[in-house]
Amino acid sequence: MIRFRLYYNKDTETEWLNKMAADGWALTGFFAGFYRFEECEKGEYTYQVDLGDQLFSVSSEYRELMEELGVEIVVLWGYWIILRKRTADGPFELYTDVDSQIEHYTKILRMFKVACILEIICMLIEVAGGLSGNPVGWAAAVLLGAFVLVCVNAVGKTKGVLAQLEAKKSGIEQENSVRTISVLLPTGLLINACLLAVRDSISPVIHMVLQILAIILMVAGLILTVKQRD
Amino acid sequence: MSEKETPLTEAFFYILLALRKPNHGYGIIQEVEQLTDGRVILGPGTLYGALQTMQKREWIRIYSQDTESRKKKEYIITELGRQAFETEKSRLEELLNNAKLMEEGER
Repeated sequence: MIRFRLYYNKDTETEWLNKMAADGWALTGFFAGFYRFEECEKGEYTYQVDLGDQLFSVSSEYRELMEELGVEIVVLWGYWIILRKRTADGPFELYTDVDSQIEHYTKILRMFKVACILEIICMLIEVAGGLSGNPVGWAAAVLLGAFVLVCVNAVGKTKGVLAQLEAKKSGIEQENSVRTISVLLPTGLLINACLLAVRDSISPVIHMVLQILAIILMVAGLILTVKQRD
Repeated sequence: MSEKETPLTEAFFYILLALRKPNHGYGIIQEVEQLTDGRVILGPGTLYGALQTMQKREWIRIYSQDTESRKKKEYIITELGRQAFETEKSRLEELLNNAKLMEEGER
């Protein structure tokens, strides 16, 4: 059985995989959002998701340690590692103290931030492509813009998790920072999309001015959004 | 683990203790579980991260790589690791000694 899902949150992904396993479906493979399941005894496995240090591989030390502890590496995808352990062999939780949980989510945060920056760079390249008259560039730019927003939200969520962990560690409840994407960001995207629609019926000069405005709005929005969370 | 080297986290403290003699991954988890009466059970991710960090700090090192029977990597504490442990022990002793002041207050 194959299911398609896009997860930007490893906790909800883990929950889903364990629910599937509880229903008798064990994950055996993954490719670009497609999860492959095979039948298993209900609740035979417990799944966990880890973030590694290398793309599509793990160190021999990691592999050996997991093997020794009865943990099977099911999927390596990008930096993500999906692991499982036979439920009969005992509870399976990867990170068992606040300090290592903080370290884990800090790593995830860093990954999302880098992904965010890469997506923005790609988006700007597509915007440049669009500006030079390639309509596909615009479409790609808007799509990438959406990915950027998802990534920004993932950064926000991860920061929320980290804030909770820090509070648990220090015993001091931290004031939850407001988690909103600056309105400038979607505004910039909207102007972009509008320009896309009317590009042939307005003068090139106005088009150009609006385009620059949109880019400024998006960049400013992004900076504001990121800053507000720091 | 965080960049701060002191105080040691419980996981670090007990892993160092378990590595006073050569020990492998599962052995470390078992010993720490016994020492703490089941209170501290190290997860695989926590253990792996701690082993990596402590190797970087040269607090522990790989003791044996390949034994004849099965591949089981063993680790052992280094001199630097013992120093880190001693520093933490002094800090804990200070805490405990000062804790006695509380009893005086009760008299």
